[in-house]
Amino acid sequence: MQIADLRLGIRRSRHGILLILKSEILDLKSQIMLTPALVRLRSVKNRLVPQFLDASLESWRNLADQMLDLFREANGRSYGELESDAEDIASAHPARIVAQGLAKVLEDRCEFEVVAGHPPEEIRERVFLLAEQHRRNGTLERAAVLQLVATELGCAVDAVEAGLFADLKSEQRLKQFEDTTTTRLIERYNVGLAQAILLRATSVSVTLRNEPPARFRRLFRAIKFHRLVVEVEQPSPGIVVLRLDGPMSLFSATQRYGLQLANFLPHVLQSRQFDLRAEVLWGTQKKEKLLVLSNQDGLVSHVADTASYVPPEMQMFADLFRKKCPEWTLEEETEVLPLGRGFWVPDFRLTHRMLGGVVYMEMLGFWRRSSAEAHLRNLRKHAQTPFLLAVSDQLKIDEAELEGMPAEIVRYRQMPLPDEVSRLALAALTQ
Amino acid sequence: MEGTQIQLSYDGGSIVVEGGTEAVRETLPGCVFDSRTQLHRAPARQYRAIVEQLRRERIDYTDKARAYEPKAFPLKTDRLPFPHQSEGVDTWWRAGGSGLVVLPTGTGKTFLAMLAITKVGRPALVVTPTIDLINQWHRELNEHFGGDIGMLGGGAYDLQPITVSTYDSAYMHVERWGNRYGLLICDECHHLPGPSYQMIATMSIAPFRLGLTATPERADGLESVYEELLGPIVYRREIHQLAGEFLAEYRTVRVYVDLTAEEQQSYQTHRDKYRQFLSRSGISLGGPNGWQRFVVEASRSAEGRAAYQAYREQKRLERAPLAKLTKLAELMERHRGERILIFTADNATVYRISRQFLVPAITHQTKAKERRRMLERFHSGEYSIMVTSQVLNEGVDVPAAAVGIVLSGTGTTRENVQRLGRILRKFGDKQALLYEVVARGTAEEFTSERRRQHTAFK
Repeated sequence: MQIADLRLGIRRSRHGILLILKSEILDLKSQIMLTPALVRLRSVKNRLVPQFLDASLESWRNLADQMLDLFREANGRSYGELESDAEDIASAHPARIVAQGLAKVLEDRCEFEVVAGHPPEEIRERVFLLAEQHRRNGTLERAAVLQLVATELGCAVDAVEAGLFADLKSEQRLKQFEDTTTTRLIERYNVGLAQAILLRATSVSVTLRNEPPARFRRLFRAIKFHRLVVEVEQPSPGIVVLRLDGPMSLFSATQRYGLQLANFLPHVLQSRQFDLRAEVLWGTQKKEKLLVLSNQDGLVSHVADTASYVPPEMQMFADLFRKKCPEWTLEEETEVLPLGRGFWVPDFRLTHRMLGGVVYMEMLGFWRRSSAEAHLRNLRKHAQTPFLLAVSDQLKIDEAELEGMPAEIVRYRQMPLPDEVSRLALAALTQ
Repeated sequence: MEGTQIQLSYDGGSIVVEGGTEAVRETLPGCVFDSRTQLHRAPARQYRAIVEQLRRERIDYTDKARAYEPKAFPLKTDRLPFPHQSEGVDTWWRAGGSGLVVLPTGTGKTFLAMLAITKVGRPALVVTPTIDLINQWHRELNEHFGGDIGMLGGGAYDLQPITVSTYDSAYMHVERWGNRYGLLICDECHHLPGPSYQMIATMSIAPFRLGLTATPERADGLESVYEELLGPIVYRREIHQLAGEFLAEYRTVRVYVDLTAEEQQSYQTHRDKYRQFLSRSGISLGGPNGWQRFVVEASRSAEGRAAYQAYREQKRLERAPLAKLTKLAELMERHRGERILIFTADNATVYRISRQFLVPAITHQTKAKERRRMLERFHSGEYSIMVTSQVLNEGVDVPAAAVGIVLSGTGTTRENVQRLGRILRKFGDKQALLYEVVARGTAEEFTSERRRQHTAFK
């Protein structure tokens, strides 16, 4: 599978733009981050060392539980009260900003609503209009106005007074809290902490080791979605370095892409082995700092990992091919190949044991027809290495569309046949 | 693509230059080789300079960057411009259609912008600070040009040949609109020089640019950025040059109030407390990052937290002592029947005043619909008083307002001039009056001095 132009995720039709915006909003909503003011870190020379919470430590678990309990029992209470109770817990704790950070994570799981007998807007309008009349006559008396409005609305004076600004955020009542576990809360806090620093990043570089093709495809898709520019380097087999920033980063270090880089983090966290280095402009003085993260930090992604899924026919083919064609080695870890303005990550790498040559293989199975066609166009135009294309009959791709492709082609129904693949791979190699 | 024709395209706020020879690409204004993507790239604002150079040197090029066509925008109304409006727009046009026009609030910057749109004849994007202002621009553009006026911000995403946007939305979506407008108008353009908002002008290709403001000066000295992003100040008129004929006559009055003995004592105690903490921690609030250091230090110890509480308390006393509210009641009574706008520094005081005196309040939490209705009622006279913090500081039209009462605010001249501007629009033969209520014996006296350092208050 390939990702076309990584930098242009923009559809120019009006309809398309609306769709993209919508999915972006959803994406942002699912990303709970701490604000930079809540970031707890140590500064060691030019390094920013985030102080992640150890989810196995009793003291953090107790604090997390205390916050969780507050939110679990807060139904019907006002935002202002909840905020002030959370602040009470926080200021009693030696690590106040940890408590505030945990509260922020939980607050983002809350839904608040306006509770008032009458719409506050209506109460206000009646009160202000009546007060205006009385003021004009020089007879304005606060209590009298409220009493008159209460009579009009058929409620108590207190209800008028309380309802007047019941729609202000601080007056709104908690309607629903999406509960979570102590461990998840701490995990989410830790990711939110790292993301809050990345919000101030100007560029990020990620080194990945021995990741499957599906991982890279997913990462490239996320890069495209977040409209980042990527530079790919492969210093040695199995190691891929991604350098990420945005188009305008060329002219000066800009934090414009910080949000996108922060949103990209959860995708990186799914990798087995990674090192991440971010250039950050930190603090009001915007000092140049470095953030270093790796899989050793134990950050747990909250984004569903679909990249670990291997379609069964692919696994079956790989097993069978290894058994039946011992003259080849088949590897699922391939390479990131440049393809026009984007990149291409084939499914398999076949190395001939005797000849030593390499042939890449791509399986076009459950693809959307339009993306398969776009991919074929790109391959035809830009592919440089010999490769082998296995096309599922279910895709209903015409022979004509495969004409002139710089590749050997296998059509298959359930799974490509190993013998045929071996024969065509050899043909590609000796071409 | 080496050797083929030069081709310009727009990519996420930049101009990508391909084809031609490297020698040509290298010399184009702002062009840099991008090793990441292996091509030449320039910030989009260089588009005009690049095209001008290619034309001057008679180099053929394909322009895939520009995604708009010239289009005539005739005015549908027969409103005649004031002399300073036509003079302003003509001067701007002769300066190459790029630069700032500085006019006091209330002297018709919106109409001047419309004259510029007609003159340029290219799709135009107007960027303005608040939701209230995009609504106001939208209404006026619609009245004078008819047809569909686009809107970005406040939940709307609709790009049309003439579109109004907030700075926030323009910044957020600049990659999507940056090559679709030939004229960029920045209203209240003193907002533009901030590091984020700058990108609006940097990532747009618009060859024609107009900045509008009454107050180009900035506390951080970033005025120099205008030149690069919009062009130089090409035309300028001050309040006192236009008062009377095009603006209402006005007076500004300072009123002092005393804290009660109890308040005074509490003020002093709290003030001493946080200042002692500051001096022990070696922090000067006026120094670089003084405020940030205070907040950080304050969060580290119980003593620090107490100092921070003390700071807040003395600020609260300074902003809304009893005497200010009593004075406010007195001023409201004195100007009964006139349209009064009350300004405070913070929302808590807005709501306190609204609750106590039962007058409508507008803050950033007030929903657009309710806001619109309040402003309409204020205009028609159904409401004679409104209280607000910062949302009405800028641009929003409240021509009926004749009396402004500044109960508290920042020490910036900009805020003060903008607040004065709210009550200066001509409306009948009103005589505008701006009160500033200052708590005697508090730090507010200095704040008041600072915010009056402007010709309008001399």
